This record gives sequence, C-alpha cells and structure tokens, in this order.
Amino acid sequence: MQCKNNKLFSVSMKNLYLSILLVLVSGVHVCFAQNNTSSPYSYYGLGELNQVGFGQASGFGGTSLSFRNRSYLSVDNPAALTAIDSLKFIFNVGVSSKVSNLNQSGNSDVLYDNNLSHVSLGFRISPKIASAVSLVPYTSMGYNISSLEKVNGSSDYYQRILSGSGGLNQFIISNGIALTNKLSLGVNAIYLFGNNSANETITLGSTYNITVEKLISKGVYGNIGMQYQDAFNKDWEITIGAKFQPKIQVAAKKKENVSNSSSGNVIDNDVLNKGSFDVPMTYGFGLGFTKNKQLWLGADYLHEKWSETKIFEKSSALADRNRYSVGMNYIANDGYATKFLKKLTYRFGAFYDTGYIVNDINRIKSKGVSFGLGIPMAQNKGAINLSFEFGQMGTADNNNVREDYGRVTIEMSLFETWFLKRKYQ
Amino acid sequence: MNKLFSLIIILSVLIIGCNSEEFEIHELGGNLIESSTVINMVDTFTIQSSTVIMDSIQTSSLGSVSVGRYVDEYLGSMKATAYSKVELGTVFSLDTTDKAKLDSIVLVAYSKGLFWGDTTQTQTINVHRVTNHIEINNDTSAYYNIYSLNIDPKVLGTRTFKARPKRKIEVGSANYHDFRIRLNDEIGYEILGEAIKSDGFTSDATKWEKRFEGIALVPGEDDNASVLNFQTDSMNIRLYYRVVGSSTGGGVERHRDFTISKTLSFTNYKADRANTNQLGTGLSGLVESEIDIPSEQTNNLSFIQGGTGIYTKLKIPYLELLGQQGDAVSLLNAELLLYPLEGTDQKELYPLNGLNFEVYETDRKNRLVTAILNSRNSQLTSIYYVNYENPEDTPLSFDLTNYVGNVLANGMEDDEGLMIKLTSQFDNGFVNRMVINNDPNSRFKIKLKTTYAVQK
Repeated sequence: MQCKNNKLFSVSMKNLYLSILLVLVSGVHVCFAQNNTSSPYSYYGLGELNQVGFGQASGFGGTSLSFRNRSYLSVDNPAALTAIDSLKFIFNVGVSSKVSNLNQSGNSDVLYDNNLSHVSLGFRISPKIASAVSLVPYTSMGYNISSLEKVNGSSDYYQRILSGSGGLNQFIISNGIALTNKLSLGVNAIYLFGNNSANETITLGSTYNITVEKLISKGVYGNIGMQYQDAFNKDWEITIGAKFQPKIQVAAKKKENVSNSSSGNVIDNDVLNKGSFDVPMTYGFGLGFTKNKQLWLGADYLHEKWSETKIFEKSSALADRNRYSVGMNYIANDGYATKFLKKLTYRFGAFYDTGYIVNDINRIKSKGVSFGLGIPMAQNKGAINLSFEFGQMGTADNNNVREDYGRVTIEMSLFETWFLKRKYQ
Repeated sequence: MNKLFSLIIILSVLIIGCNSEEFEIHELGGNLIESSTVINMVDTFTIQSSTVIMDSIQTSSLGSVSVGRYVDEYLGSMKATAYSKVELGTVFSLDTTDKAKLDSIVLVAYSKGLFWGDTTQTQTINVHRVTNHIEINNDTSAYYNIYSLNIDPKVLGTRTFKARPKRKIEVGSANYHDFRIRLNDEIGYEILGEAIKSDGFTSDATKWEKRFEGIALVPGEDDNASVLNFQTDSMNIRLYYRVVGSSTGGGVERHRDFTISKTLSFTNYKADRANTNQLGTGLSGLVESEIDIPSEQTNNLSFIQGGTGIYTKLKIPYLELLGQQGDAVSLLNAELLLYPLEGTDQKELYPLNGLNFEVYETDRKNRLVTAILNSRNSQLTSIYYVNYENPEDTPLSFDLTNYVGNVLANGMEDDEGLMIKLTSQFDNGFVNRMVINNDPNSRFKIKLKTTYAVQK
C-alpha cells in the first residue's frame, strides 16, 4: 500500500488524502461491486435503493435538499457545496452496519449487513465554485433464499436457490457555484457502474441448472440542484432547496446464461451488448430554517418517476416513489463551549418513503426515525458523525416480508487546511 | 493524530467495506422473487422394446462352470453342460513296495452359492470323459456358450440329488460345503496301475492328456430342476488310496488331487425356445444377432438372459422432442425404469435380487456401440434390489441423465437404441433372466422419467 512510502506519508497530508482516495477508488471498487444487503426486496428494479443522505444527513432522516454546512459534501443537492469552508480540504468516509429482522408468516430471520456508505472529497476551487468527488452506492442487491419445491407432474422435490448479488455505484463529480450570495446552483455528473446479478440454481439429485441474469451498468447521467438562502426574520434564515433530474437512459449490458452440470453444456447464452435502463425523472424540494447558525430545521419532498422507466426496453414495472422527511440539526457549540456535551452536534429526523416497489397487492414502503451525533476532533481537524436509524420496510400482510432494522453509520470527516500559506514554518 | 485517523479509516474501509459475503442460505422471502424457471417432469415417452440375442458369449476362464437343466415358462428349456480339462499337475508315481490299494475316486466341487430354478426337484449330474482336445491356441482364443465337445457316452460317475447350493460348511462360514460325485473305481485302479510304471500316463502331461483329456458334467436329459454353478478354482478329481507302512505294518491313507483347469473350463448353454409355455412360438425366430423380436409378438414382454446373451433393446423415437418442451430446456434428471413382470421374480426360484445390469448404445445391427456413462463419466451400471414388501413396484432403474442430456445437445441417430444387459459377470457366468413388462396399458410399462427446467 502506498502509505508505507514514508516520504509520501510525511511530505504532505494533501498527498496522503489523494492516495487514500486513489486506494479507495481503485481497490474499494472491488468491495463496491458487492454492495451488501440481504433483503429479498433487493430483487426488484435496480436493487435496494441506497439510503438518502449520508454522513451528517443520515442523522436527520436524509433531509438534505435545503441543508448547508461547511463540512457537508452533498450529493443530493450539489448547490450546497458552496457552503463549504473556503480554506479546507474535506475528506469524508462512512461505513454502515445494519441489523435486520425479517418477518414473514410468523417466521423470522436475522441478517447482518456491513457496507461502505460513501467516500467523498471536496474543496473550493475558487471563491464562488466548490467541487467534490464522491463514491456512493446507488443500489444494492443481495439475497440467498432456498426453498424445496415439487416438480410439476411428479412427487419429487427439487431445491431452488435464488441468489442475488452486486449493486450499482455512483462515481460523482459535483460542482456548486454561488451565483449570488443567496443563490447557488449545482450540478452532478454521475458515472453509474457495477452490476446486478440475479441467479437461480435448481438442484435435483446431483444435477444443477444455473440461470444467471446480469445487468452491467456503464453509463453516465446527471442532475442539478439549487439552493436559495435569505433572511426570514431577525433570528431566522430560510433556505429553499430543489433538485431536478431528467429521465436518462444509462448505457448497460445484459447477459443471460443458462448452464447445466449434467451435460456440462451451456444451454442458452444471450449477451445483449448494447442497451440501457432508465434513471427516473426526479424532482425534489426542501425547505429549511436556520437560527443563529446553530439550529436548523428542514423538510424535504422527493419524487422519482419510476413508473415511466424501462429496463432494456421493457417496462420496469416499478411505481413512482415519494419520500417525505423532516430533520433537525443543532450545533450546541455557540463558539465558546468548554464542556464536551456542549461541543457536540445533535441531530434528529424521520422519514416516510413509498419506495418504488409494488408487487401483486402491496407497495413496499419504508419509514423510520433517526438521530445522530457530531463529535468534533481536537484542533478543528474534523469530526466523527454517528447516526442511528430505526426503521421498517415492507409489510407482513399478504405473505410479504416485513423488515425491522437498525442501522449505525459512522462517518469520519477530516479537514485539512490547504490553502493557507504560512509565513513561518 | 491525523495519521492515526487516516489509518483507522483505511483499515475500517478495507475490513468493513469488504466484509465478506458469507454464503448463508435463508428461507424467507422466496415468494417475493420471480423465479425464471419452471421444473417439469414428463414420463410419457413412447418406448419400443424388443428382444435380441448375441451370436455367442465367452464362458471360459470365468472361474466357474454351470450345470443343470430347467424349463423356463417364457424362455423354454435351459440346459447347462460344463466342460473342463483335468490336469495331471506334478508327476504321480508310486513304488511297487507301497502296495497301493484304491479306496475311491471322486469329483469334488464347491458351489458358488448360485442357483436358478427349482432346487426342491431331484436332478442328476453325469460325469463323462471328454474325447476332444481342449486347448486355447491361435485358432481358439476362448470357448463360448455355443461350443460343445465330444464325450465318451460311458458314464464315469453319476449323482441324483436335491441341490443345496447355499449350504456352507457351518452356519455363518464363508466356505461352501463340498459337493461330491463318486467316479467308477475302474479309473482309480487304472491310475494306480500307471503310477507304478516308470513310463505310465501319470508320468507325463502329454501322455496324461491323451488318456484323460477332461470331463463333462452333463445334466439329466429330462430334468426340470435348477441350474447350479461350481467354482473351477477348487474343483478336482480326488484319488483316495492306502499304502503299506514300512515299519508299523498298517496301511496309511493318502490322496492325490488332479485339478481342474480354470482357463480351460467352460459352459455350453443350450436353450430351446421353439415353443414355450407362455409365448408359444413367439421367440422361435430369435436365432441370430441382427433379429429383433418386438415385445408385441411376445405378450408385450421383453427378456434378458445370461448364458445365452439375450438382451432387451429399447428405442425412444421421440426423445429429441424433449428439447421442444419450452425455452432453453435444461435436463435435470432422466431415469429409465424397467419393471419385472409380476410373478417372474419369486426369490425361491429366480433370485433377481443383487443382479447387476448395464446399458449400451446400440444400432440397427444390434451391436454394442458404446457404454452409457454415469454422471461421473464411468460406466453406468445398476444393481437390482427387490423390495420384497412391494415387489411389483420395484423397477430396475438407470440414471440416463448423461445420455439424454447428450441427445438434447447433439441429437440422435435414426436407428439409435439402448441395449439393456446383465454385466458380464452375470451375463457370461450364469443363467439369470429377467422378464420385463412393456404392456402399454400397464402402469408398470417401461418408462423414461425426465425432469427438466425451462425458462419462463
């Protein structure tokens, strides 16, 4: 690993961060290819959608469209980047750990999933423009479900194993520009990569039949965001945030392969080299109120028009997603704090998300509450952001699965002063 | 501090981010995922069966010979005659001063534990001298079931008995009890007489051969009892005699064994199928290997018999249509089931249990083209185990997954068929037979059960 190079390690922290990012982008790519989830719902659409908002925002329900903060690298609304500290180089990395309890028809099963939630790096490139690059999962696919089923026309049983793996990831280059002191615009250019593999293994006696359906994404799309901030009254500032994303066809490949162990033959092998799937037309609005730079209260509405999307020219059979969230961020430190608890940032939030999955009868919705803590590191070197989310996805009605979950996210947020030229070393 | 944090970050990313996906199988939620395949079973293939016969099968050098006669309801009379060369071994000579006196001369044989037919009936074995030369040379590499040798009509010894082929020397022992036929004293006297001559026929293998080529064990002409099987390794002609002791003055008992040659022993199996109880003249045309006798001509039955090389041939003309049952048909299992006709497998008469069978691909001329392989790519064999609680529902089954998978992938020839036979141990060595039901109206007709996956 490059960190062993002492020269590099000592010369500049700047280089260290770059090298970390390099390691992450190249090495973690492998890890990202296997986004971890264990939800059978991840079979639908493009996989289980990643939680909205990460790092600080995961502490307040992902209510991020109108949130601005000097260390927050938003991918949900790139216009927020104009708020970042002008002299700092910001490096954020988060990991999450989820425990879910699946319930179906009186049975339950506990599953554990650990994930890298995001890596991002941001800085201001001019007084009015700030940039960030991020690596964030978009969807995750993962399940291993086995059942014994009866052969049609026979009393014999076979084993069917349904397994899904993979996920789609976003490499995002975000730019925010402050058009005026009050109005900022932002744009995300997103490279969507990774693959979803839905496999089915039929075992009868010593023979296996394996069907692999793979969606390989290698495409580009983008979205834009806006934030407008103004004084509301003497104490309060108001922030209006919005985002928009047109429906875009993302280039992809599709592979279908059926193979059989008894003859060692590939029964069927379809490779569709060219094709696409759609990311939906999306819009969202956020409203935030900030008091004395310490308290922020916000609410978001996000709409994703999945019903009009297609996957390889077939209707995706998905439903439009509506997501509502509210959040609160309270920086307890008024600038003079000495007690530890007064130095922390406190966050609360809640969300309700219709998701994009509809099966025979039910919409698979999710809802949850979250809270978080921001713990500053000494000498203003950064912060650790802890978030806890408790939620529920799906319903146990009509033989569906209800997932009750808890998720912990830990984000390391590091600041390095880049742009201050010291007169004395 | 920063260095430390950076390291923690990198480690946590590498460890937690790469948290290996353990291959845990769960059961919940399977109904939520649309499966892409449907699994079906079809066992309604038309299967045409016929009975065929091999021109000859080797019966020498097997380590055993068969003797006996029984009349099969379906396959007619079966007569097994054993021919064996008797070897001198080392020179046998005696001094005149020994004053050797004959006690007796007997044929000693040991069962292999096999029988076919009714052992409660009385049967006869006659021992004759063979007058042909018995030799394996460039012209004759082996002896076959259809070969027979000339014999001296004079009977050397005879025994009429009820067979006890499974009798051991004691309960639980692995060793079978001996079976003896006393031979005429004449031969004993002759051998003792030669042994005291310096150039008698017991002094040289060539001279011995001229006088005593071998023996034939011939069953009673009209017996309808059982066919028995004897080990050639331990069979011998034993000469019992007494010699005068030099000091004690009493007689000392001695014996000398003339062993049976293992390689130069064979069985002639002679069957008469011209007119049988059950089939009438149905199988009378079964005389050469290129002839198929369809089951329709033999009461919807087909046959397998050891000793005579009778095999069952199957044709599955529409097998390739399996590939048209849906999109991307993928075979999971193919099992061939053959049911013995009810009542033809009584264990007291026809012990089918434990017989081993194999399958070959065959052609229009009924040749054994290639052996069918199992999933481990070794030759497919199937041991028939009878469930005696429910014997009529016990099929002989073959896992033809490999073969059918190949047909799906590569197609089959128009005249391609499958030949079901006993493995050589049971086919060449004994008269085991199976009567296979292929009555189109019976639920026990021959079936090919195929289970396959198709894409939705």
